[in-house]
Amino acid sequence: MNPQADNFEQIRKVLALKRHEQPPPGYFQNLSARIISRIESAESDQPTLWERLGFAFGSKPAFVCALGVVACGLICIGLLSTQGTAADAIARQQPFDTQSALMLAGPQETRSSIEPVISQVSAFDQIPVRPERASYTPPRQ
Amino acid sequence: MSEVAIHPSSLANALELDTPSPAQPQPLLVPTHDAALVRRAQDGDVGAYDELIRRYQERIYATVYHMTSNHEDANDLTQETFIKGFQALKSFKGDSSFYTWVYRIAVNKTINFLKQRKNRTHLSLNDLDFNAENDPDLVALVSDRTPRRDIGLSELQQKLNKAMQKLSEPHRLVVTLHDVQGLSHEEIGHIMDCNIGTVRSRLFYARQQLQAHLSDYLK
Repeated sequence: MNPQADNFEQIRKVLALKRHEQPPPGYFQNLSARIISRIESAESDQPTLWERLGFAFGSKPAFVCALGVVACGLICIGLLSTQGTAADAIARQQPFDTQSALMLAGPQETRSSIEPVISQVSAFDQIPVRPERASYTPPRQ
Repeated sequence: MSEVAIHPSSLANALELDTPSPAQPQPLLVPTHDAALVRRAQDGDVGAYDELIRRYQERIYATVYHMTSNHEDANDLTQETFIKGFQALKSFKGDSSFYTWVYRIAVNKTINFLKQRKNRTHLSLNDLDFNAENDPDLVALVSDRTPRRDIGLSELQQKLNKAMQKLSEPHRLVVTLHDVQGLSHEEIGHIMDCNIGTVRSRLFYARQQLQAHLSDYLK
């Protein structure tokens, strides 16, 4: 016989040893009962609608963390965008009011903020004062 | 995965040995009423599925065990295989036999498990039965033909399982199905979803590898 073929024959004889490896006695007597029991318990533990939708939080901590981060992020983005919209509205309204006020006030002189404001006209000058002769007659006793 | 180049004469020698020896179990004969049990199980009859489990549990367990060389893993995977089979039974159309179908589930589960386990190989071997010591081939192998005449069957079992674990999963599976369980090339092709030529070349390569790993015990 060919030496290599002979060696394969020996390999096959050695492999036959594996057929003699047997599980503990009685192992197969209970195996099907254990499997059926697991099948029945799995059927009784049908997932709820919440779990079917993928919200079985207990079994997926990483998923829950990721979901939490996303939810927080969305809330923050929502808040920021709301505040931004309000500020824009005020900003849009303010220039109109200021401009309207300026238009109503008429042209004004521009001054530097560090220049002292010295008025050339007294505040009393604004009041029209007309001197009039006063007459006084003391009463007779 | 790369296969070795096979010389035609070597392959011919390998194929000469492919006829199962009388000691090997004959290829599986599927009982005709498997289909009836499957139909009942598909309608929710757990008792019918229990009968199917009883029919094939030993073969499924043996395949998984020889792939993992670990009884506890084989126990878990066998149970998971049949549970998965029951859950997927409604999708079983009867294109193949129930046995081939459930075998595919077992093989896929086992290969996925082994990929996850990677290098964490822990042997948990079953004991050899009483017949091993009375097997003339095995007795001759450990007493006459090996240079290490002091080797016992248990030690040879350890060496063999370690050598098996060094094979890739497809090669280990082919050796397990053919040389240990006695399935035909055609049946193995159905289970592994490949053609007979691939089965034969994998078998040849796997035997070559085992021969190299166990050379000290075979000369």
